[in-house]
Amino acid sequence: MITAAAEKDGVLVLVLEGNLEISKQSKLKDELQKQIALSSNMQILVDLRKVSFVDSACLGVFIGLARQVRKDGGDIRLAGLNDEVMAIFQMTRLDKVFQIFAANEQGISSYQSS
Amino acid sequence: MKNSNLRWSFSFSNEGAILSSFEKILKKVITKQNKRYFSKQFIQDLLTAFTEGVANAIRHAHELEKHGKIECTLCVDAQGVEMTIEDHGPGFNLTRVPLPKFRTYAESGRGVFMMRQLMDTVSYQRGSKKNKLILKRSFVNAGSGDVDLLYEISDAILQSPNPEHAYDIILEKMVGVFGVEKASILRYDPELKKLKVVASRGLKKNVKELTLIRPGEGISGYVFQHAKPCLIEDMEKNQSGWRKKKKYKSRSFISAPLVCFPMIRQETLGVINMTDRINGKPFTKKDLRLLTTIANQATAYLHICQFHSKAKKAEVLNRELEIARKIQQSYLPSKPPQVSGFELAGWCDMAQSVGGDYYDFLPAEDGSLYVVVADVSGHDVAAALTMANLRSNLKAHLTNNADPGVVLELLNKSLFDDLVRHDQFISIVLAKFSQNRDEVFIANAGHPYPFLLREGKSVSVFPNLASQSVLGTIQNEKYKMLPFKLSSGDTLVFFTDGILEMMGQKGSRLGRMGWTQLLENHASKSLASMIAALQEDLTSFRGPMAPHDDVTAAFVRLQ
Repeated sequence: MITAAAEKDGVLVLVLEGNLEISKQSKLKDELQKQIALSSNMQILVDLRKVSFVDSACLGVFIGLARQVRKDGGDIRLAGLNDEVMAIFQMTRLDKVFQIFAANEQGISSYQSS
Repeated sequence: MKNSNLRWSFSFSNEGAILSSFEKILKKVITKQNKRYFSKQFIQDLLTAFTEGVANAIRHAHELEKHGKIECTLCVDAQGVEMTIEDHGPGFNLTRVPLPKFRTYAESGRGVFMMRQLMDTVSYQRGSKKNKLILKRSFVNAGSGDVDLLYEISDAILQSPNPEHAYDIILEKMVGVFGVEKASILRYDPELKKLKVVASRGLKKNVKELTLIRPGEGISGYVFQHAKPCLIEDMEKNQSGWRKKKKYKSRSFISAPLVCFPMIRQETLGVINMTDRINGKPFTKKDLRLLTTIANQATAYLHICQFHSKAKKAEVLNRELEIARKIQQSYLPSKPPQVSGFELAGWCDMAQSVGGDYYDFLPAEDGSLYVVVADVSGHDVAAALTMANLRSNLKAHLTNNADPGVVLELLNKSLFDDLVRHDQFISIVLAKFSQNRDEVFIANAGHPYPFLLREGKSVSVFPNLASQSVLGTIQNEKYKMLPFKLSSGDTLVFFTDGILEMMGQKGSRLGRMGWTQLLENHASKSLASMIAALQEDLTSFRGPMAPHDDVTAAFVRLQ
């Protein structure tokens, strides 16, 4: 699910892969929380280029984590959503809750300017 | 028509298999006849709604724990797709499920909303033993439309000289049929990646000009992205999450995608929206069906018209290019002139329809002979026009007994401004063979010097001499005229660098050595058969690769 985790310019970049649906919900939540705890970096960018499907259960995971890290002054931003996954975020208005970028570079530099 | 219903029952017993089993069943129901409706987004919409329905059965009815499996059906007919998901729980009242709280951090509560957004109807049948969630989504062009209206619209589009007017024509008719005050057609602009208003009624000018909508955003963006028509009977009380905008008077709204089926997959070109009915009544499902059908038919006509006009333009362009090619070919000697004491021959191959190479044999009244070979930078129509300009200027400056160096100087002066303005230059060699046929005078602006073929050997006439600057670079350049002694049987070979630069199929250039070798191989032949043999050699050297430069050569043999 998480295929890579790396710090780049002070941003924790987490690369996800596969279909994110209800059966992955708890695993997704655990893995993301583990990576965040490991790096103790709250400036997070999730690379969704290799994710082809997200359902409401896994959207919930992202929302829960966003609430958690934002409370501590951090953020979760997203990059590389394909058209169909973007459509899900738009439909559920979550494109207004998350900052979404076309590519990782833009997502990383968004932390530098903020 | 044959009844083409396809219904499949399937089940799975662990939640990790939701997507894979659904995708497997979907493959079975997609046929040659219906596959054009199954766009990537359409499939994704079905997958999403199905997953949400199953997740509901798992979370709220605990179906996997209690029943051990989840049973589903998938049915596809000519109108669309129907999916059912069963559960054996206590059931719930679908109509009481609230809208999700947007812009909050609520982790759940989006499933039913997502199903409603992606499906045309979402219903839940409660039974004594089991309950059924039924999800339906129509194909976009289902239903039959008002045929007379379609004829009117297609007729009007075909009579309109400008395809851009077609949107106005479509909208005009629709406004009449539906009796609305406000309507608009938005078209997707692939460069901006946004939807733009291309026709409207009742919109303020600034709204019309400033509206740019990203696919997926708002009602229009949603209808476009999912190619899914949308009816909101009452903006105040609806499950879409969209709220009434102040600019709309009435509370009812319909929107349909402009979809056509050009090849295998459907393509969405834009969106048509309507609101503010003159009679104040809300739109109905019947209205939405009519709007969708007419919109699709109109889009098909629109697509054909645009295709037709593109093809027509390309045809005109091709015809004009062919005329240009013929004109340019007529500027080159169709067959060399008869000049006593000389055997003459030449050829010119353009890499494209037209090009910038030029050669000519120009006998003077005093018995001398001028030979010119030139190469205008570029191989396009601009190069061809400059080549024509060069040719007429050259003829004007070639008076009796003109010195080739002076002619190049005059040509440079008269063409200079045009060449600079169009970022072009010309390399040219001009030779004058004396009346006595024993000497040639050569002036050279940036061109390869001709080769001399004498007694079977080929050498450059001035092997160690650099040419002078090309025309169009130094305004007051004085060009020298260099004399070269000839004897009977000598052949002078003029050519453009397209020959030396020619790439062989093995990846190497022909170069001076290769060209020398080819000339020596055929030195004993008459010029006509020498040219035929050289052309054959060059073709096999190049192999299947397309020529990347024009190729020109002119031969003068002293008898």
